[in-house]
Amino acid sequence: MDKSEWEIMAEVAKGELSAFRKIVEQYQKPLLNYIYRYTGDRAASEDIAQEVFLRVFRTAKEYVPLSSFKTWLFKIATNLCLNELRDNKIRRNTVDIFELNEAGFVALASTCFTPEKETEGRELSALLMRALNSLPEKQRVALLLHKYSGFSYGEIGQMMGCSMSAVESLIHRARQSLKKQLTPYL
Amino acid sequence: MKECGEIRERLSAFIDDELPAPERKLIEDHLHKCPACAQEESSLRQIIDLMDGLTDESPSRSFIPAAVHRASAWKRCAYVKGHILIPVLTVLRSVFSVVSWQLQANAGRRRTPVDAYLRSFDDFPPESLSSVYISLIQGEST
Repeated sequence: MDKSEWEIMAEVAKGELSAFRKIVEQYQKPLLNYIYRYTGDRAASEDIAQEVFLRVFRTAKEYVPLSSFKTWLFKIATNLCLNELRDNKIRRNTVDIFELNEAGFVALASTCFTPEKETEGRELSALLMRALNSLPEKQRVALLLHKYSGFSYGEIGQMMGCSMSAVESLIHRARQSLKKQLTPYL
Repeated sequence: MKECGEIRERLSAFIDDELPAPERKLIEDHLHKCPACAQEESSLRQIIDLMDGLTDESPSRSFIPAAVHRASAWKRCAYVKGHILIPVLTVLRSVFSVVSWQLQANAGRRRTPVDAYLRSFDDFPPESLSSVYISLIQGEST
């Protein structure tokens, strides 16, 4: 862990709100985007991110800098997201493209893609979000942590409690699945 | 590691630069020779590029103040709990223990177990067989 971050966390453990504010300022955006891409629910993602930061404040004394602070933070976020999804507090945006029949595909494609590049990009992003949300939990977590949060396979393995080769396999299968779902639109 | 299947299984790790140099070199060489695997690598990179295009969401303007406010509220609660509620409850518990012990001790002084045993004989109704028996015993003793 970065020494300055470790020092900031020591201050947070003493209940220093200014130090806590620095942590929130630094991680609010990456954390929110991770949670949003994980849950697919924009409104809920902000509430979960708030809860994650509150847990950081509450459990700061228990933090041991054996791994990076970011790893610890995202592990808390992953566990919270998983709990929320399991408790069905979040309505997952899971439209499985495989579930659509051929006519559905054509209809979806014709409504989604307009000649305007911007609209096309937006719709493709929406399709990508749906495809991400249709991935199995572990594949989605591994892929999101690697792609958008910049964690290495080793760090993800540490967070998820599995080996590097298992992480590699999860990420590869996730990409294969996205490829299957999105190739018709590329 | 020469089979296409094995190469393809490792393509994600190859793209993510997570492989040791010798293995990386093997895959690079294979991709130069095998158009099918090269096509597979290219399509995986397309997906990665697509994911790069996903725009970031920005937290609401009230996010930081709200987070600090929640932490501050929790800190106040923890302070009240740790510095007021728990000490007060501890004192109340001690006072209650002392008072209840005192009451038991006073009750013990008023009525000893022997007294209680003897008084139980007073509870027999008059003219009952037991009371006649008691009076006989008392008569014998006097």
